[in-house]
Amino acid sequence: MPEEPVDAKFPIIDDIDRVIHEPARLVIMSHLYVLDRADFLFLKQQTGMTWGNLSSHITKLENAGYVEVIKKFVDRKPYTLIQLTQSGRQAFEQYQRQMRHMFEGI
Amino acid sequence: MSKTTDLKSIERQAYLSYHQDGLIDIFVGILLILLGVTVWFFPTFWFFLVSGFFALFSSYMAAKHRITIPRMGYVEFSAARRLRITYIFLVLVVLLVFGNVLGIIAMLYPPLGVLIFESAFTILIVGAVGGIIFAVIGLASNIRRFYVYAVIFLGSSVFTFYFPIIVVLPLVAVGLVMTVFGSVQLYRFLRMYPKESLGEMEGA
Repeated sequence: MPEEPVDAKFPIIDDIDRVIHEPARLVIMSHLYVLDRADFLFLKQQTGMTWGNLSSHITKLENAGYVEVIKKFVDRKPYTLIQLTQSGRQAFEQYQRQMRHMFEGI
Repeated sequence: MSKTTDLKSIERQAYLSYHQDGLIDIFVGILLILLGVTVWFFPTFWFFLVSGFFALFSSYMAAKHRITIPRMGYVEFSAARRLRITYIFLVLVVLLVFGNVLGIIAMLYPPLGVLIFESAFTILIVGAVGGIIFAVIGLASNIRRFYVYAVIFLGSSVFTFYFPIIVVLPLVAVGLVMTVFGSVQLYRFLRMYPKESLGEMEGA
């Protein structure tokens, strides 16, 4: 008898957003969820990632439409800031709900 | 539930790391020392110095932009966090205005000034109010070392009540502790977070 695929046994796992589920991106999303916006340097210091790593993960999140990169002048100095988009915020909340639901009753 | 707690701790950790530079301790400490020295040597003019709070606040913001942001990065905290900071700021401004009004009253009506500032219990009231302010700042900002400052302020006020050798002891004592602690923190911060080179950042 052929073995049933894992995703079929646990359909909720299949629905988990893999863009957010990756640990490094989950850390970035968590920070941006609780902060309004932050620049690359602040996120680097908080997450402990390298520039390259952080940059590639932010690009993936940006491509997914979860974060946006904006330019802002503060005291006449330009800052490149990253913030969650509305869909990024909703996706993160959905991810929270799914993870909580998955472990319910354990 | 644990997820909520983790997100809260992420936010708190981000906020605390933004304040591990010790600048707030140094600026408030210097203000308190200056206030203590002025009260001791030029008692009539102490309330003018209270207005120096605003000058020190703008210097603090400038230092934050020159020292902290190039090393720690720029961040805008959530609306809830900003609201808490605004409340603290408003409470401080109200207290400063109140202090200034008391100072002006004391200058215009000396007998009332004697009643307000030279009563035996004034030092205890000042100690209690100052201690509460430090504790409230610690509670609202999650910067726990402010609880220690509250205890030092209250403790030195009680000490001065029983041994009134130097009436400005609470101000100077807590001001010195804050300045020294803040300087050590700043030294550690500068060593731990050297300025990121622009080339590295642009390479991101």
